[in-house]
Amino acid sequence: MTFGLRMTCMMEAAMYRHWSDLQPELLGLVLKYLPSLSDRVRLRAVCRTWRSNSMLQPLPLPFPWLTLPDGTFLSIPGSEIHRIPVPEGACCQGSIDNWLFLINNANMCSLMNPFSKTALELPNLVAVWEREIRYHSDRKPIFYKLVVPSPLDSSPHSPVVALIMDDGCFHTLCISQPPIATASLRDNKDPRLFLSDVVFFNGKLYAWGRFGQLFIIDLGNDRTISSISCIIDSLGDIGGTPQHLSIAEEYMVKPYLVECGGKLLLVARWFRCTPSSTSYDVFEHKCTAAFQVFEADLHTSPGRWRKATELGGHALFLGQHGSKCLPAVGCSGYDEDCIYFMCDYVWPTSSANPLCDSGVYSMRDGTITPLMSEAAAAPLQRVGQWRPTWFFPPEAV
Amino acid sequence: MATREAGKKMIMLKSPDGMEFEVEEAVAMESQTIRKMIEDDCADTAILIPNINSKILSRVIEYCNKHVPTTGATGAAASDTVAPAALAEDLKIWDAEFIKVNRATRFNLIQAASYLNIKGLLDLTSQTTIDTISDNSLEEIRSFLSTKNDYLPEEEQTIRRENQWAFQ
Repeated sequence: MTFGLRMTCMMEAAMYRHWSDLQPELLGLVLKYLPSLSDRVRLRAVCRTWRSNSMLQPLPLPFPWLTLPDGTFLSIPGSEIHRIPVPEGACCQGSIDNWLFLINNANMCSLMNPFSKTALELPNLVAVWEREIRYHSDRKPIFYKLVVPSPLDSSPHSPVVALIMDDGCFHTLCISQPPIATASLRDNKDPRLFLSDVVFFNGKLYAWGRFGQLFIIDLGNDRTISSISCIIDSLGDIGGTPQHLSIAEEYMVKPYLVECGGKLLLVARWFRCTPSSTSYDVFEHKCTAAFQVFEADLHTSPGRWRKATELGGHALFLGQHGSKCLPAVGCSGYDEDCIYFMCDYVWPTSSANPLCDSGVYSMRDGTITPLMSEAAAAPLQRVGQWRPTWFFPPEAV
Repeated sequence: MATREAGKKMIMLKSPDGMEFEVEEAVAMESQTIRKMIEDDCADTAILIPNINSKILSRVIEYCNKHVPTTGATGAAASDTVAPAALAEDLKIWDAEFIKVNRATRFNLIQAASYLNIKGLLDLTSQTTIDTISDNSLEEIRSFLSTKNDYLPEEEQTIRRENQWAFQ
């Protein structure tokens, strides 16, 4: 030992008290190290003091859950499967934060917070879509993305915007002041518009068009569409194959609009496509190979897409039904400047295992590591109609 | 080359049970609380560390001593020959051994790390506690922490019912 130790008195003071005496700030600290919500719930349930003290400290959001086709939830740390009841016959077709977007057998649509059981009735989006499509009766809606300008927990009267994609690959936008649909628009009406993704950013609705175009959709006070204008009309820095991908191979790129730490981002997900001899769909066997991130620079007119090399210390959970950036602070279980992705393709429609093309992409070194170990992911082949989507449970329940 | 005795400033830490520990200032400054005292000139030659008994304080010093950045006399030789990655790996193994203590000691180490504001030790003690808690049932957590269940049966039932999914 290199430190000097001088004993002047031999005295063993008994410091140890009960774990239930752990000071609130230290309990908060311990809870911060628990990325799994169920562990937090159990730890809080240990004794009365912990239950009352644990809420005194702000906690990072736990690691998000993933909905599985059979209506269960997967918590990735610890690979726990959770079962939370939803109304009979309801099927999850998307999510916003900790709210599930449910459609029942009669096409009734709602958003439900499964913890508080609060439900928000939505307009019948299938009926809205049917009104827009008018003909082509053999078509059907296959995909929904719902967005809100502010969190539903704190703004229950917020407008809800839905993007509905049908199997003709056209998109219908529905603006609603729940439970009333106030406006709708199908993107086959204007060749410029190809609304493959929408996002709220700083309270305004943005939509991604073809060829790098970014539209801003102004909603009037009556929740109708008052104007649509193009604020970025060129690809800017978008273009070119990511550095380490071979140009000899065939790729497909899927764009995602994401709000991240006060910035509006476009995330391009590159898939390597392996044609299959047994399937007519060449994209059935696709595998994520790389990501590119671009930031919308809206300070100039028109705006411009600029290449981004990091996420400002955030972890991005990327999903077609909704993406969310979480600040990767402390030991929340997710890492800074990483993109967490899973298999939530619209095609093929029966993706039974959301982990079959999943991983964690590091923006810092361009590597992809598994989201879960193969052994943990193997028993997750589940049958059902629920769409895979990230679900963001609150800090504590 | 400066030797520890000749070149290093030493500082005295006193525990409330009357023990005195002479440590290098750099080692003591692993604690942000002590660093602030030294920087603010509040530390004369001896600093009384309230609430942390000699047994725990000696473990804390042992930790700081291992984790103090290896520069200067003894450190120069080490960093010349050992790669940083290997050093980090060595520290990890050392940490894992260091934290093999009973629950009471770990409880006290968490509190000491918090009071003395030693981030690494706080991370280590909390993470180790979490590793033993996570994925366990409520009964297992209670038994591990030897905490008494002070809920009335009805209260406990309500808590379990509210978040049934977490107790399945």
